[in-house]
Amino acid sequence: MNTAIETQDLHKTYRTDGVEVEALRGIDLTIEPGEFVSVMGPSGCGKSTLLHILGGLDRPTHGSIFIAGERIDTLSESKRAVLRRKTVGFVFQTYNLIPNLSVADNVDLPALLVKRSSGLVSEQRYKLLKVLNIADKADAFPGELSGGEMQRVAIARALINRPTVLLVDEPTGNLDTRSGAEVMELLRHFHLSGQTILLVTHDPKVAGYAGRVIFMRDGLFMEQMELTVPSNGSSILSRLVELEL
Amino acid sequence: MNAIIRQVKANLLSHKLQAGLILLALCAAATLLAVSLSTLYVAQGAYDRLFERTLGAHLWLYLNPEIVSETQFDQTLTNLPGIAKASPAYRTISTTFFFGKRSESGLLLREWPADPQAVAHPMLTAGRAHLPDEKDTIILDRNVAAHFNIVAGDDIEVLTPAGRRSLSVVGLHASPEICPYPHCFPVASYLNKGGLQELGLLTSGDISTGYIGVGLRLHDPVAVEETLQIAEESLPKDAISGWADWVSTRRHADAAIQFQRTLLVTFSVVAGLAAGILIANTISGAVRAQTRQIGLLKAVGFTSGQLTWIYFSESLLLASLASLAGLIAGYSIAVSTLRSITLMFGDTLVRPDPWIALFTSIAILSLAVLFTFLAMRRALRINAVQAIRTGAERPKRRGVHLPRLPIPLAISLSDTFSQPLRTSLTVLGLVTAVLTLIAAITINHTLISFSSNPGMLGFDGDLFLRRTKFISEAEVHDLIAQQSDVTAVYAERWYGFKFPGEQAYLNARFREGDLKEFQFPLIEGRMFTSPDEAVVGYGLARDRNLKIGDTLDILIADQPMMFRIVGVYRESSNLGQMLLLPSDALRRVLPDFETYNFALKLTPGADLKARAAELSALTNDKVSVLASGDDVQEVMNTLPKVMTALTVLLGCFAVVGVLNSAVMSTRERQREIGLLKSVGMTPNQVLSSILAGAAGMSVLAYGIGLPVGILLIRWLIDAVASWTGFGPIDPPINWLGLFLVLPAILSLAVLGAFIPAFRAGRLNVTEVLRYE
Repeated sequence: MNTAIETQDLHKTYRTDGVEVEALRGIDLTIEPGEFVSVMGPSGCGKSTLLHILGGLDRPTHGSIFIAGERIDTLSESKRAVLRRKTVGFVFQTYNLIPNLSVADNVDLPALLVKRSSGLVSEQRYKLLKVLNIADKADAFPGELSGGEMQRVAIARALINRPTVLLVDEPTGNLDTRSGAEVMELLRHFHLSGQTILLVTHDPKVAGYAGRVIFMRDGLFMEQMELTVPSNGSSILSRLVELEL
Repeated sequence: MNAIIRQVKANLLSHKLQAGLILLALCAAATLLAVSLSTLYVAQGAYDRLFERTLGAHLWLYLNPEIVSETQFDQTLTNLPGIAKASPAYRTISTTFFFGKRSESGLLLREWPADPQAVAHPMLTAGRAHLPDEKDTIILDRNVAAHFNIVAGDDIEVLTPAGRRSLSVVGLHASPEICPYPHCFPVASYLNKGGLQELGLLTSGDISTGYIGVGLRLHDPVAVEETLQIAEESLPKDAISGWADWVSTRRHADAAIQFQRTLLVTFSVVAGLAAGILIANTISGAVRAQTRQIGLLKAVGFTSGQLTWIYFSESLLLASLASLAGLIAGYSIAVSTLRSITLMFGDTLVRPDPWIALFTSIAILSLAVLFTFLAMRRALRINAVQAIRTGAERPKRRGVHLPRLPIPLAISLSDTFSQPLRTSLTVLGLVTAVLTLIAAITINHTLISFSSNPGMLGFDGDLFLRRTKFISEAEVHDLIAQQSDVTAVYAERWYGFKFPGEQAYLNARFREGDLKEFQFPLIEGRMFTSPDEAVVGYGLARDRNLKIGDTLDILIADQPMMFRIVGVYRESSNLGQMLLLPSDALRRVLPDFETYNFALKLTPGADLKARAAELSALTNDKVSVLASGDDVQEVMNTLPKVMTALTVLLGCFAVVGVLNSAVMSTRERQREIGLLKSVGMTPNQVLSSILAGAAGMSVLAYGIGLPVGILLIRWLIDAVASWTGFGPIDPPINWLGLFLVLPAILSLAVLGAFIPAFRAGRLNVTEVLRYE
């Protein structure tokens, strides 16, 4: 069986105003299907860059990436778009919902892009919104929702096409504690039903929902920690202190 | 203030494309406004300007040279009360002019005045004046020159008693004496001093012995009738063979270009509207695209007033630069492309007019400030958090589900209808282009319909002959009789008539011959069949409330005559103030009258141009012959060209409008496009989505513009045709042409949206999501 995600010697260098910044400096990562992995590190360590490159939103400067066994770093822009709609689901810190589309339309959009039948899509959307406890908000607009509700819509949109991998970027960064916890519980729910998740965060409590935590600094993986039971984050916090992250 | 200046600078530098686009759009609007106002300027008051520049005469007297000598009347007239100044005595002779293979009889010749600033002096519009003692040179009436494609430096020939004489055209001139417009009867052309004597034309022209024209400036410009009466009493009996006053000449001249003027005024209004729409769309789009930034600035402590000042300053700065550039561009376009319009109105070239420049600048700045203010009021009402979070105004209406269409189309429809103001302004811009296209097509089609059926204009016939004095009427009849391919002929003579108790003369067409074989544009009733019957021009019937069955009492050669009206016809000359009468009626009062004009019908398939040349050659140019359609074509040619130029101009601005709208829209939707790409939309789908939006708006504009345009232009053509005395017409509709407006406007919209759509498709998602 193919790995869900595999990267080899991944580098990413940005050039801004003639200055080169190495955001990733040789990342080797393997995530098995069904795994829930958190990447932790301080701001600017390259977490989001890694997530964007894995999701095909950006290209690496060097190295290779395989998602479900398919090499994606050599794909054209259009093929990477197809990868994003079929194989990868994204959840952003700022939700990134489309403001002039209703909740239902926001969720349906990736499914409509892969030309699934609208009946099936509606059914799937209803199930997801029900699980996410926002089924009554289907006709609302993003501007009419709370932060927690918007993040749930974003999760529903990311999962509508049953992606191989769910990539989640600081999902609770804009939420209050209670809403954040609810969102993480929902992610755990989907993980338990078999969804592969890669999450980046700087919050140890959020990272504690994963089965494996990878610590990152200056574009490099420092080490990783296996968590056998959901952690309240204290062990992760201790390790962060030890690593001076 | 420092913070505001810094922010303005930062905005302009960080959004160079947007600033450039605003500059382009405002510049385009200023150009359009400058062209539109210049067009309006040319279309209004052209006659008055020419009258002023040439020190035009309030009253022209045409004197019989066999009764009064030049010196005799000169002394008499200048001493009469009410006359401020008189022009030199212009001895005027008609003769035939030859322009290569074409000829025109009855054109007038005079001698150039010694004083270039004399009353009623001709105004040079090209070339130069005659040099002292220069022989065989001519300054041609510029409308005649334009009609026959003659420029200064060309040679022409004139008919003299000794045969053709070659003259070099050294200049062109304009004069308001008769009517300064190209399709009016031309004014005289000018020889050098002594030229008439030199050509042997002083004693006899091609049609008559000519007249002496003298133009009078009056102390009271409207006291024409009193002055005329004094002049008649002071000069020998019958010395005055005709007269013309400036008020009726101007009214007549202005009415003759009523159609063109109405169209161009309509164009100016539409163009002005298009400029306003472009500014509204650009400025409000630019402000909307910065909703998020406005939210951020509010968040860091900018007050509403300060924010308004930031965007006012930006708009004013860009509008000032744009109006300057737009004025330069507008004048360049106006001068280079509107030449035919200026000629059409008998005006000189469009010059940079300070008032137009001032008005354009003020209009652009005011509109920029107004729409900035309106857009800012809207933007400032948006909650700062909402603005920062979504970069957009909260939708006012609850939305509907995405239509189940291909997703790029569904997204584009959703976007199009989620911003009704932006969509409305863009659609309105496109509607103006649709309207001008429809106007151009309908006018063109109407003119072509009339040109291909000259009978509708009263020009039915294959060949039109006009004899000179050098050949008798009997000789012309013999010549016609010898032509085996002539199947029908009628002769026509114009002669003046008056209504009892009135001073002014009107003209009647007296016709005889095989009239049944020719088509006449009867609106109602029938053609006359007896000498007591008359057919009335539409304009005359309308103005004097004449109906079929009425009795018509008129004076012909001062003899009272009575006719019964049996029909009303379309008359394309003299505002329809004419009569169509049988020649036998004229023969009753003038038994020896002569006819100069003849219309012939030939057997089908004849080469008309070749036959025209043959007949003219057979008479040694003593008869000028015109093939059917030539004259009509010339009259009809100017307007479609002008309309095409204006349509192209407005089409270009529609492209700028769509480009601007698409750039603003994609800028405003940058984040949304990034999001769509993040969930799997390909660059081509983004491209198609934006192009589909533009195409959708153009289809909407077509849907609105088509019925409005058809109704408007048909009403306009019909109304103007009625006003000008031609009679109501039902303009034909060119359905194919109107259908082709759809792909044309679609192409314009897609062309305008393509570059921004292509750029949007290639947006870097991470960049957009990171910085937006």
